[in-house]
Amino acid sequence: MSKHHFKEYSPHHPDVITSMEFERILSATGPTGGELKRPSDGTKPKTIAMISCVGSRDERYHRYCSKVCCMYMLKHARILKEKYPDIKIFLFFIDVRTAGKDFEEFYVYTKELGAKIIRGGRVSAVDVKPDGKLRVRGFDVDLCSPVEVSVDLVVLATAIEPPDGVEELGSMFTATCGREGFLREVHTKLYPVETQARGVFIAGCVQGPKDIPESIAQARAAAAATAALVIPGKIRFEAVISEVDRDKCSSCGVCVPLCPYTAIRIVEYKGKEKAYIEPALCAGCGVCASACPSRAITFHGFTTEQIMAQIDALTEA
Amino acid sequence: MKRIGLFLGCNIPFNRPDVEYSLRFLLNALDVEIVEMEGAACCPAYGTMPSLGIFEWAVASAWNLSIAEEKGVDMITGCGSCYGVQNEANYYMKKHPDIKKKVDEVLAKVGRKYNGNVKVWNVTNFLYEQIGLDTLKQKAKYSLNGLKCGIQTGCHNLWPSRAFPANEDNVFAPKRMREICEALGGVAPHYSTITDCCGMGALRSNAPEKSLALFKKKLDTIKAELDPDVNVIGCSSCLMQFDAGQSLLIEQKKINYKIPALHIAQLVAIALGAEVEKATALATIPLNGVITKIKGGN
Amino acid sequence: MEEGGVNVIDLTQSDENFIKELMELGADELKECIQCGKCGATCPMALAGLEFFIKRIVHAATLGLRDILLEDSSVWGCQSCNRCVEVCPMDIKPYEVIQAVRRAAVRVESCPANTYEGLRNLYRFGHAVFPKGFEERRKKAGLPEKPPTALSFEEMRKKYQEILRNTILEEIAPFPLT
Repeated sequence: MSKHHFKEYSPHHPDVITSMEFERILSATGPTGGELKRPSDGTKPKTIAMISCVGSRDERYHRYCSKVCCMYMLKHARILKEKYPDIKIFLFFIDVRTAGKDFEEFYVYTKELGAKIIRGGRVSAVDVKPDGKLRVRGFDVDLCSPVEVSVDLVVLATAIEPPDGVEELGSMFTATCGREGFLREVHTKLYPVETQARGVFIAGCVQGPKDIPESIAQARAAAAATAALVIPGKIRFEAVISEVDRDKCSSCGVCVPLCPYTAIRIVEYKGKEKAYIEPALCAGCGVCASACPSRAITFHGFTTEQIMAQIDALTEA
Repeated sequence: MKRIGLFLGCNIPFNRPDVEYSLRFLLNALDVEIVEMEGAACCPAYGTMPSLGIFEWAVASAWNLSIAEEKGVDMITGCGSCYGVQNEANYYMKKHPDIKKKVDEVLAKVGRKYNGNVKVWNVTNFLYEQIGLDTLKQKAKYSLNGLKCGIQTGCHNLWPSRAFPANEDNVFAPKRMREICEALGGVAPHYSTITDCCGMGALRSNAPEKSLALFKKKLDTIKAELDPDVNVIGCSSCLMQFDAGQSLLIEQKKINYKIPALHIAQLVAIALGAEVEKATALATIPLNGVITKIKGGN
Repeated sequence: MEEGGVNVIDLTQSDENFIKELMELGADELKECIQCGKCGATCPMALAGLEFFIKRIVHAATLGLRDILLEDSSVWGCQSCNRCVEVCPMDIKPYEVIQAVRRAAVRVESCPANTYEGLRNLYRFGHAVFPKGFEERRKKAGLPEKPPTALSFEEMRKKYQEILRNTILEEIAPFPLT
């Protein structure tokens, strides 16, 4: 997410940067060759403030927690403190979210290295001082007081966002996006990598903010699910699916846009255009069968005769 | 000819009438017809009707707004609270039709109505959007001659921005007052606490020492970062803190410097040729240096 | 906290009805607060060092701590600067919580005396701020003794007073509305 949304953080100033930009500055293959330099004048910052939840947990941008920022802020602080022990680092958190194996230990270790942790604590203002320093103002719930600190560099942990065009991508194969714009899984617990489109699986940040181990675990699950489909060399259909009696079909086309699985298309049959349902895609919902004005679509297991017989049986009783 | 309702409020006519004189002078000088808001009351101040209920707030503001609407004008005010309170009342009445309905019923009892068509302007936004910097420059009789201005917009002129008909591009780094001072020949740099609260208002009434301490912190920053010739203020309450409040700090020996203070209306009026005696009649910190500089001294 | 008292807040006094009352008095989105602290970092009440300030008041309100909020006078020191409303990421309008607490307080006569003074001036003169000696000050600025407001127009002032009598002021004012 761009820093320019956050006017209260003086985004026009070159020394207010995002964590992604800071990651590049720390990288040996980055623009500074891994040397710590601040963008405005190329000097090495002596004090740095890092601000969490910029655009996350925020109704104006994204309600969700971006999940990985707490950890990478600690990682950045750790790298800096190991390389430059004299540098002063202030980390402003709302809550420190380091759940999971080894993560809390990482947090404690970074504190031991001397990084200063401020909690409860979303920063309210970053102001530019005439000497070029940036004054950061936050709240420290542990001191029960507003706090301020002048620093040389401000790093904003901006929110993870769904990539551009993900909605269009999803619509190409009827995978839908949730309210926040990420592709949606079929079931959070039971089908975490499956989408509405059969045979299309998702993994990584396209489905929601997540870290590298989780992305890899999900990717391997998606790969396994794909392999399970592909390796047998044949696809098993659902038993209960719909089928078109093409001699009865009037080619009106009503069924085509109704199908939630894009299983129906118009194809040539005996020289005429007729509806055809792809058995591999049909999920057996029955929408087309109930909509067909010519009663040309049979929903196996629920044929007209079977349904009429059921009604007769019920009304007799 | 432009027409505007001059909404006076309380602090301007009773504590700082020199600002009222300045407002009247500058509107005349800029060929804006002043429509008197006959019978208008308090905005009402945040600690009064707004602290009793949203309806109470809305109906008291609607009284004033209905006077302007009857006369077919928008309103201008030099007081931040009057600007904030009445714009917010407009905002609430649009957002809550049930409250608006109750307001209509009560107004009808005294034979008045308000259709929601009045905009409330502050001096800065009115000059910036309705007059324009070029016109202002053309009509000025005196240049500010490089006068260094420390800007205080006042909180109520900035926030909550969604309730205001006009505002800064960045409400955390306001520029409009700076641009007005610069158009008139002054310099008005940004400083790091430009949007900080001056401490005037409910805090000053209920915890005066804490209020003055907050003000001192801001003033010290202005002194250290800018050391201006004058502080230029967008709100009459802030003006009272920057002028009389500063005099208190000097009296209590809490600061050892003096920075004169002018409301933006006073500064503009003086540049347009107002009588300095009247335009600065109630200032407690002497303005001699400032006036000399404007009137062509070196 | 009383002088010499023990510094512990008893959470069993948490009162859902008080939360409901505040929400009805304007703090309608109170419960969405996640206590991120953004409002507290630049709140003038917090910077000036009042016992209760925006973040604390909102939290006490979500806990339904009626007595604590109504007994402490900090809410009356709020500047109404609205910076909290401008920056609140959850859009709970923190300032409206302060106003709701004030509204609850005046209904049980738990507000500083100068609140009534402002209301009395507002009712009598049409101006909440009505300092002595203004005639002299106006003369210095070359203006007539009285401004052309409700103060100078008795008929209008009476109508304005009638409007005020149609609000809750009628019930809570400790001074005669005549």
